[in-house]
Amino acid sequence: MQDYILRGRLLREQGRYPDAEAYFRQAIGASPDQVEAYIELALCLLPQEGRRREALEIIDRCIQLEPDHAFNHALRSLILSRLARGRDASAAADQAIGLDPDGSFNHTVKAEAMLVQEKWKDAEMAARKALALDSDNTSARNLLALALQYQGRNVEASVAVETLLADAPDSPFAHLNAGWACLRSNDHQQAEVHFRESLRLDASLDAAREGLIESFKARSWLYRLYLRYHFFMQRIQSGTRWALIIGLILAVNLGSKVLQTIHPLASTVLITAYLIFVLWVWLASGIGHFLILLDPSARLALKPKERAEGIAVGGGLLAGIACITLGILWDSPAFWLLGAGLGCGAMPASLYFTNESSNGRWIFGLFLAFLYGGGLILAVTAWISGAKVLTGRSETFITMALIGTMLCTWIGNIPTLRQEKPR
Amino acid sequence: MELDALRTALAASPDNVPLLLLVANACIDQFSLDEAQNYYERVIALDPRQPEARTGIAHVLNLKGRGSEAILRLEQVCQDSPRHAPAWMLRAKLILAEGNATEARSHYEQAVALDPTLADADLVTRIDQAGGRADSSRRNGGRIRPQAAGDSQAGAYYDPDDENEEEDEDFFLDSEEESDAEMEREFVQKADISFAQVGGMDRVKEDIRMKILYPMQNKDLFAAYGKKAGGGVLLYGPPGCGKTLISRATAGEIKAKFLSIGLHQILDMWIGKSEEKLHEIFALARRNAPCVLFFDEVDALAADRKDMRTSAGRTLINQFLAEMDGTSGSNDGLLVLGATNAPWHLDSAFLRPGRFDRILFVPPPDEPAREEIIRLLSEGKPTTGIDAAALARKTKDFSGADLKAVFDQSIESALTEAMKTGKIVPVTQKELLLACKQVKPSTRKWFESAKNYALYANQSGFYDDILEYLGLKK
Repeated sequence: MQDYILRGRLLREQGRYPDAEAYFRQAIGASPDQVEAYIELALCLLPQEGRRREALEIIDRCIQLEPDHAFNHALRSLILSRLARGRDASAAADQAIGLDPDGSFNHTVKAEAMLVQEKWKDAEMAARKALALDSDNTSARNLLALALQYQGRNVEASVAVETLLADAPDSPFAHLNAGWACLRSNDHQQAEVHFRESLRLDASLDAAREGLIESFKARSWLYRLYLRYHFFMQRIQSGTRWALIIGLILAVNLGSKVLQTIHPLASTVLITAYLIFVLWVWLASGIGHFLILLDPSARLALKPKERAEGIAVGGGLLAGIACITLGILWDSPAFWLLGAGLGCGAMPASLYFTNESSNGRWIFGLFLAFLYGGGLILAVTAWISGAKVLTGRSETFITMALIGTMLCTWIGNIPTLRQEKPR
Repeated sequence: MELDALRTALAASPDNVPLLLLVANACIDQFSLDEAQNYYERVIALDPRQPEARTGIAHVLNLKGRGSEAILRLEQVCQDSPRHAPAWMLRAKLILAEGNATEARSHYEQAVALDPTLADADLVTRIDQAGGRADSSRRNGGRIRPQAAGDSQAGAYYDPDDENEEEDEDFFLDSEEESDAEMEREFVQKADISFAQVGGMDRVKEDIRMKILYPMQNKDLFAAYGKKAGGGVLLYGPPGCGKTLISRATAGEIKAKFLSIGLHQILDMWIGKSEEKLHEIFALARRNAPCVLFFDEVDALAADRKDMRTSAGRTLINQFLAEMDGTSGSNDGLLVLGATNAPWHLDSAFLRPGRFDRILFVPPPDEPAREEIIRLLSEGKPTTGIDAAALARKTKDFSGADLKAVFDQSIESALTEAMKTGKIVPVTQKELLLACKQVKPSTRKWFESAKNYALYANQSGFYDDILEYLGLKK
């Protein structure tokens, strides 16, 4: 039975998860009370996306068998963090720490749980505690660097990353971390170097590929502005973030009213600027993907769904603007309608293709289909009938498209419509 | 009723070996021993070395109370088809019944080493109770390990500090011939196929001809240019695309012995830290030159040392490197073939000159190759209206293994229907097309990973073939 575990462990360490899993399951079949086999199986399932819920079930059975072993609780915490269940992960980490306060790994998983909850300061403290217990703990050093970055303490984060790179130059995670640190420092060229190195060391590391895409997008100064905004918002707590968003809306409303008394055009300029800002925040990523598509070598890094997003958001917006322009120039409602469908479609498209929530994909997908389908049908009808003005139905469609687009900016903030349902 | 349906099916396809075996096994279940024997004999008439049928006859003979005759027959099966695990297992059971527990254990271990799923805790207990103990010569060589799943006593008979170790070692050293025979039994496979019997893969075959066959057939010419025949060749590509088959065919083409080392045997070596065992395999191959030494899933043995958590494993990797370099014996006439689905897990040291310095990408079968595979798969089965070309067009990105899965699924549904009606239900094009939709091509996932490695970790153009295949390199 031990033989099965040894074989499975070898295979797991080599990343041959299905083969390893078969051995661990055989070991469990042979001796259902063997804790080691459950731990190994959970460790085997953990790196496999979509199988973390199974990993959780396995570690829960393991804890039933051996409730006083700190590592089991720490592993449970890690699995919960990867399932984005930060609070539960934190509780499990606390149990592990309670059983073994001097275990560096226990504090490391606590740090990760805190990062999931966006409690950057707590994450930093936990990572520091882990490092105090074991200064060679590379995971804790990575988490510390991340926690510092999220707090906007870029100088300290850079030092942490540099030390990490000096000690572990072959660690793909160290380069991943360094890449993000560079992006935060507005150095997209160096970020690209680090992300590429991270991928060279471990080409299966998707986070590094995502980082590389961000560094490609950051070649545009406009996107770098967006990144700055994004990093700023990331630094602050969720509550403060909402207060800021609502405060901005109120300020624009108030400003608009004040400006209205001075000059109506000034108020329009303010509202337009605000709308452009809101749309840019939502569409920046999709437009970034579109820009990457224009680069023959960079576009290879994109996944099919990211390509589709780029085409639908960037291409759709561009085509929409072109159609509306033609509609104005030729006085053609058909182009107006087509432009409205394509242009407004950019918003749900930015929330559809790369959305991890199936509910979200349904909602935004249906709206996208309505905009594309409705726009096309009405445009063709208008073209055939040779109409020169918008009909009542067409006006309703455009109004619905605009309202729906604005609604997207609100409901797009609902986490369950954006994040993968924990599996 | 089920047996009747099978008999009816057999009437329509009398030379269908899998069906004959199925009916024979069903007859045994119903204790129709004469009928079962008759079906097994029909298989043997078609293929005299068919191990499953020969084992089946031994099983029938034993059930008829002719145990000694059954054992004699099994000895022959084990000799002719040393990798047929059920024969070893049945032999273990019969030998145990004869009272020879030690030999029974040896056969049991052999069976489980070949196929761990055959592990039988009850049998081990009975062997233990009969006084059987582990085969110490194997234990010392780390050759075959007891692998009885569910066997809590398995550890009891695997004890590296056994008091008889010294004595066993002497035995091991003194019986080299026996050891050779045993190793041959474990590793030698028949290289009785040629390129003609491998569907498609024309480009790979041509590459192998240029890089392997011609140098081995024109050693002197190559020597004149300071080049050696033999050496190491790495075959990589998505799973199920024929790397193992083409390796066997390569050995068949050069009429060399074919030693095959699979994942389970590699794991044995890791666990036993058996550098000695690896050396023995290479020594056996050298003694049998010209010889093809084939390592399936070679990345498990030639793993990147950076990934090794313990230094213990590194010595085995170093030993593998030393053997490939020929430091402990000349590798003339020895061709080392390695197959892997994950070349990125290989230690870069293995890719240096003199080791796996020729690298061949084995892609999924193209359309004509798929058509050929489909034809091969439909041979000897009750089919109707099969349009291989149309199926090939519908199965883009399917590996050979995927196509087999398509056929298996269709045959299963036809067989289910046949069971219900009691009539032969041939496999139709429609069923195959339906199965094509249900079976997902396994190569796509592989290419997703491979693309990343080809894009970002393509030092020295190692993955150029992948980029070319994906149309990313002009």
